[in-house]
Amino acid sequence: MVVPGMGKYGQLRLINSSVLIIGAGGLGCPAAQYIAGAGIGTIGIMDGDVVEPSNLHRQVAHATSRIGMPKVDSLITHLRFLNPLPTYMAYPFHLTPQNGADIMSRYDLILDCTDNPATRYLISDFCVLLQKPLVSAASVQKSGQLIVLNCPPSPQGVFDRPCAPCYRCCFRKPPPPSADLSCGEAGIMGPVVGMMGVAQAGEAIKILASGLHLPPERRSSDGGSETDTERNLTQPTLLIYSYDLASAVGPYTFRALKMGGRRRNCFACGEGSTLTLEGIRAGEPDYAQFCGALMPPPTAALTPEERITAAAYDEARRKGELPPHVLLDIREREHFSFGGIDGAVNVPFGKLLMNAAKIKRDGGEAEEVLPPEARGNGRDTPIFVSWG
Amino acid sequence: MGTTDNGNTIDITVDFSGGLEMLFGNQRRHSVSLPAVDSSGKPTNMTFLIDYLCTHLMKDPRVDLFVLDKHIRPGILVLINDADWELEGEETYELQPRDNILFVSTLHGG
Ligand SMILES: [Zn+2]
Repeated sequence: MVVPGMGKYGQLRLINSSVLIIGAGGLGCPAAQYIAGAGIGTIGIMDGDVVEPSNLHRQVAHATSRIGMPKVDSLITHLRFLNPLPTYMAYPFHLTPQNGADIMSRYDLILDCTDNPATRYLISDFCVLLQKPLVSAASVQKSGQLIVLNCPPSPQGVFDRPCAPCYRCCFRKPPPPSADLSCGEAGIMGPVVGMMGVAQAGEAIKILASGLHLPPERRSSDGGSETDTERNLTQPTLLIYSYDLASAVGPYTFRALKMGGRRRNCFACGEGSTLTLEGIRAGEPDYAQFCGALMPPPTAALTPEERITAAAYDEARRKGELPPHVLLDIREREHFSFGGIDGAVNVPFGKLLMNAAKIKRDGGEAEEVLPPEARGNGRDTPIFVSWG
Repeated sequence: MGTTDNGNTIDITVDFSGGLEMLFGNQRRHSVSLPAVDSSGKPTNMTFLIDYLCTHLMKDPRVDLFVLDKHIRPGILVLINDADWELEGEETYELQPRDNILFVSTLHGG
């Protein structure tokens, strides 16, 4: 890996540095491969999940033969084949407000490869307090995002020079839970999330090789100041990748967006911030509540008598025990395209929501939430709904 | 409305990304002509644009996936000519001909 600007001293810095990868999924797998290949001395992997078959299309370091194994162990097994020399540290559990500070403080740089807003805010807050650079990426469906935060790190509340922003500076509030999509339910393209994970490794290697994770006095100077616009440190770039299934790579496939610097009123790194390690450990702030995870559980709309299993439905239908009815399949069109129960009408749930919102806005009859072909012969026609 | 900058209208492009394009007919890029001044005679700003998008361009009736309490909902970044709109004055930014405005929802998956 000898290229212009990356010589012996850069390589030595990599050997002497340590990276913690939080999340061993679609971002963490490709990121870890290149981190291990670069010869970084110590690599920590944290994840509480086990390998599942539906992960394998994007979580490229896992394998069919390791289904059911903790992802952390599966990933480290793979990395040891690539490069046995680094010290690998396994943390087979999820990051919590209680375990984070102790583990993260042992590393030079953190990769956020997680999959939910609450953990992302928690990681960023620890990075502010522990003064660690953070390479953050995310991906859902056909989009990806990447940004380097907190690099170089500076203490909370410092504003006498331009400082790099934290995650909260750039993304002040999480979306309402109803507007957020996780990869499991929304789907994700393997190459899109893979591209973002590889880019995270690239950013991490760059930061560590040039010593940007170190305080300025321990960094050998190469000229240029941290506020140089070309170096993008105190006003980082958010890279977004939009993958369009219907067109070739185009002028807007990648966009580089200029973000602001550290915000004076940032909850975590701003002036007079009350965020502390002790506070986080004691449950302040409440990340789950901030991100809306503590929404009241949805009330069950159907009684057990109103529910029927697919097998029981099939049997009753074959015996002719069912009255004339409509069978509605509310999965997305793409799922339905793989097959459904004979005679089912596909009206995706999103379409139902849209219709309901339209009736609420423009007025109309409640049954118009269904297209005519899914209404049967009037109001009394029973409807069976299939969503599995 | 005209298609050139004749003083009465402002022509801009509006982009949606990160899944927001689904609310706007699954189209990522829209050319939009706005009146140069609003009904009270003030130069057209971002507040005007956001309202215009909701009433004229949004195909999906779920407006709350884009706007909550008359402001862009949390979890959406707004970029004015590829820079975070907080660098440009956010809702008070007065639109200029050929501006590019990008709305992108922030992602959390991985
Ligand atoms: Zn901050």
